[in-house]
Amino acid sequence: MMYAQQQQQPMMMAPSTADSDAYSGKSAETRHLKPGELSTGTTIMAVQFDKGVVLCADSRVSTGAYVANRASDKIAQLHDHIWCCRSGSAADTQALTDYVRHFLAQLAVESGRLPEVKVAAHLMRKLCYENKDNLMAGVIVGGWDPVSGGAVYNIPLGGACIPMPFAIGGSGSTFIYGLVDSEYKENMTKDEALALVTKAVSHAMSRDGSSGGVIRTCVATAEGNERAMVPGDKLPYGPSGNSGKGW
Amino acid sequence: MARRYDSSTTTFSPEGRLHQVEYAIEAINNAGTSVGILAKDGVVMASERKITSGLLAPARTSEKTYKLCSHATCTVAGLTADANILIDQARLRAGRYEYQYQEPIPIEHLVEHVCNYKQAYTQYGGLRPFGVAFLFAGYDETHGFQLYQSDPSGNYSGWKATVIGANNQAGKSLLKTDYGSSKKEEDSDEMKTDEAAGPEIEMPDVAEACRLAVKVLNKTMDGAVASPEKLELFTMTLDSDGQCVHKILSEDEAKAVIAEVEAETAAAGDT
Repeated sequence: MMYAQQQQQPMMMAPSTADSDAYSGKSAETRHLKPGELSTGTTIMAVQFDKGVVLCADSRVSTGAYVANRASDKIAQLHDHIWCCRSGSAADTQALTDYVRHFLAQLAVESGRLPEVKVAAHLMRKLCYENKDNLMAGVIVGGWDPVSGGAVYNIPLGGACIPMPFAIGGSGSTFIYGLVDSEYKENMTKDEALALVTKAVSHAMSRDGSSGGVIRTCVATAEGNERAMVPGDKLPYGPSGNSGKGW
Repeated sequence: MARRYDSSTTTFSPEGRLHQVEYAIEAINNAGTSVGILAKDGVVMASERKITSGLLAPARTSEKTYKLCSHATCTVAGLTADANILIDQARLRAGRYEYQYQEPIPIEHLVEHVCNYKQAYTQYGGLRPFGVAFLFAGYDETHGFQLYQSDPSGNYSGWKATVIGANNQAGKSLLKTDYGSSKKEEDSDEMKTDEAAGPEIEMPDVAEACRLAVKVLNKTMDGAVASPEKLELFTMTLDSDGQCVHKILSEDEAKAVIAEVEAETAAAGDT
């Protein structure tokens, strides 16, 4: 256990030699994990709409076939109007979020103004890129700032930082690329955006074994943030009934 | 006789004094006044802006009031350049504490950290002390709203109301009579009441504290009537979610408070 804990601190540690066990025998889903490590095999999504950004995530945290937490919150607050969706290793993304939150708070106090989403995204990307050998984290940073309005930045595994009008991530995202590409439109209203994200994440949750639980959403605008949850039995699409009803 | 023992911070005088530290404290008495008042629903800090030239670029940051973290702010009297170093220290400390412990730093911890930093310059290294005095206003869950004062020696104390900078003596004596007196003349000159000793000191609310702060500044600014450019009025309160709200009053809001104070003094017939 001590060994596993040591491995999970991403910063300041010299790159560790690869554990040979990690690449042999174990199931494809857990091969990349350390013993006992939790993964947020996940579906996450963020979409720009006319007044800001909507973020959405499922709530399943799994270690292999065991669901460690069925109602986790994968949408973390980095600053007043800036949020991020976390996928990959739970420990890695929590540590990253803590660092970026700390840096943004310092920046905000020193500059006296709200930090920009772009700045938050680049701080996150810097950490992800420079520690890429020790991290397994895919993050979507989204929020509102007075300079650019709503903005979404996708930061996949290697530490690229890509601004996009909408972004999806996590293991479940592979199943909904087609759906989201066909349904996304620019300048949606808040309700349209919410409908899109809950529908898309529902579909992903129904096909991806590592995604499930409830759907959590967060709407970030100039006025503030609205957090909501759709319980697992009220999903707009899925095996629990209500299939195809839409929003 | 002090001459031989006053040029080094790290030397006591025969009378057991540290003259450099005392001189540093004197330096602050030339600086713009700052008054802090603890209210039952918040803290008020009002500061005199000494430099008002029409040629100055509009300030993006304040000369007197500085936010340290989400739940603490300070005002400065003394050498602004020295203050900037200490404010950086305070901000880093608050941020690192919150990162490490995932909760906001208790205000006294923050004040003590800054003061320990200042104290080091009175004991080691042969460097001069910082020529700054601070008023710290903050909120934490354990002790609610708090007001602290610290000086170049590294000492600090908690106050219900206090003044630093030029003419602070005059300001303090006005506070002694007027703080918490709420129109009762008797029993209002003893500041050092503890909670058990009865209701002579009634804490003002933030609005009342603002008016009292302006009144104090009127007195310390040599009778010059306070105007919005010369004064910076800061309030800290809690919003409905329990989060701290840091607010520097706008020109119009400050004008309104100044007008109320003028009306009060005119009605009361004070000079």
